[in-house]
Amino acid sequence: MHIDAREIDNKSLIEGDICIIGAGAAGITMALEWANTPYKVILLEGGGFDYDEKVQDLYDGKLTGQPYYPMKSSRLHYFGGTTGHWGGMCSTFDDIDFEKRDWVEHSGWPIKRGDIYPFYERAHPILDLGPFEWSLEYWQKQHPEFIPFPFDKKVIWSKMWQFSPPTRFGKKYKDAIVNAKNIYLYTYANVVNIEATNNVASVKEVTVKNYAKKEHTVRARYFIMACNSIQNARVLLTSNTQAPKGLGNNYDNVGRYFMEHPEIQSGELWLNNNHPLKLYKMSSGTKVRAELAISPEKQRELKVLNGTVSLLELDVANRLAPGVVSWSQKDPRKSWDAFAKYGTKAYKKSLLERFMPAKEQQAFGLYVRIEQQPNPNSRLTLMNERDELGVLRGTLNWALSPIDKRTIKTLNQLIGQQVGAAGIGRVKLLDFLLDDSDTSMPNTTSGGWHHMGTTRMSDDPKTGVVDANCKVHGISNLYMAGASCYPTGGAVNPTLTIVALSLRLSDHLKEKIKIKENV
Amino acid sequence: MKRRTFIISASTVAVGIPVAYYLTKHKWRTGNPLSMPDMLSNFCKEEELKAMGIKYREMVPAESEKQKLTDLLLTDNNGKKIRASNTSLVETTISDKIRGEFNTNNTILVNGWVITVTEARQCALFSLTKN
Repeated sequence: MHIDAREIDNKSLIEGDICIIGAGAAGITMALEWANTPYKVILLEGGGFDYDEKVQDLYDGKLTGQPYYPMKSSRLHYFGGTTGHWGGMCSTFDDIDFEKRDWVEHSGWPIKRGDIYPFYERAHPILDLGPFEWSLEYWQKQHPEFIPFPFDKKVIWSKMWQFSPPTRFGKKYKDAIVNAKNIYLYTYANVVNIEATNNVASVKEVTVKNYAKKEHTVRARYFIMACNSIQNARVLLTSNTQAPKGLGNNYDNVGRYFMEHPEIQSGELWLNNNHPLKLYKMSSGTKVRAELAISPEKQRELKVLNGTVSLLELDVANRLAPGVVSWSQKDPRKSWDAFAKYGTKAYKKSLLERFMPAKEQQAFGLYVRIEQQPNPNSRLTLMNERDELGVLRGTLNWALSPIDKRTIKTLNQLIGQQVGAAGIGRVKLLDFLLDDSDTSMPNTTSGGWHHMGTTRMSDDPKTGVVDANCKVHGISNLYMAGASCYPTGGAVNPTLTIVALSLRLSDHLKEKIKIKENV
Repeated sequence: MKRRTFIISASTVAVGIPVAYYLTKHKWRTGNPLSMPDMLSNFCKEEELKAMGIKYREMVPAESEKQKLTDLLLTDNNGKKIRASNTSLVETTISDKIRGEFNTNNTILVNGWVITVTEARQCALFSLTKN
């Protein structure tokens, strides 16, 4: 059922069993899990079914630190959330991503990969991915032309990726949500405050507002924040009626440890022959491909983070503008257009290049994507300015650490060593990696539009905001869904894991509320 | 322009550009395997190889002289000296050394290139012998 919160009586009281705040990948995944159960699900979406400039403006904020995408345009604020413009790249986290690594400060999940792995399989059909197969060997059988570089797997391995079409949750799941008898989707219902009980032991209700100057109250047995990493933290921080520092923020962790995947061209790969590269290439129809990844063994030995590298023809790479340059406008539609325009331009070859010997095309830009070390200074804070609905806007300070840059350099050097050992070419690192005394990253360092951290998971309330089940420490009925719970970000795009983690949370809540999965 | 003339002209350009490009790019390559890193010279122009050689000599001042570099390059993996006049043996020896150095990660970063010590020495010698 769909209700436009602008159209109902002001000061309405909305009641249900489960209240999911945010209808993006996490929120919709969770809501669908509860369809056709005897429980009333309230799904709150701040926007409508289409882009709305006034609603999008609620995401605006200030940036400090490492240059980043405008806050307003790095997430989409309508039904379906940022799946409205995501690229569809999916891969699974590695075992090592969940480990406490003594060389990676603030690393370690309270759960293991095995705890999430079964949910990856359930996430596949939701994201319209191919078979639940992630080994190179499997995909080589399907595609004999997938020939990996002859590298030592204990140094550099070929990590598989699958591509979602990409699934636009807003389009694909609208009917299922709207037609589910027990799901009540409220659009234009922006949560502006979470009110806890006086002892801050549980959430009593949430307040929603919209531009029609309507304000409503929502009460439920369980509340799940499924906005995004920035908005999840922002709402917790701004909900300070009962807890002066914000909900779940007794130990000043909310908003901290914001993570991205630093992405940048970091090197050049020059090949001396026509090595088949189909395994590593991506085009518009690509469903599966691999990236070059640093092995867990080398991560341990060299004390670096996880990271992967993809290949892009060097002539294209040299023309391609960094993401932070092309995606610089506050209006996400304009940023998207500029991003696409820069991309198209980069792929256009000059007349001279068309006649160049094919050998020249065996040069590639190495595009690195790494996990960033969780950094407490990389954080969202509230500023004094309020948005149109009266909520304090956020300031995002994206901060990197020296190990991030060292990882990028190490990864490129390892590839260089492997390429040389295989006798197939040479690798050249870009200039910004050559001065070891300079630990800063260039201003052209981009991100993958992957917001993670800010309500990190930990068994210890002193070091995390949520527990292993994504429940906010100390608050019995408040949960966080999505990448804000990630203590570390791995080196893969977060969406597949967001969906998997949301399914896991849903199962946990079902168990808690004592219903059977197939009811 | 008549169609036939156009086709001939276009074909000449199409064939000519790559050939001219290839000849221009590789005409500077010497036949001396001691001072010519074979793989690298596929990717680097003369000036870049020279610059790498100069850089290596700055990084390792003890190896900044022609004779020293020649001696090091003419010593095989077992410490045995080989004769410079035996070009094919020099080629094989240097190739083996480079492969061995990559396999043992005896690499060095010179002006951003991940190369082996032997390749760096070849560049250094090249920078001393090529004006």
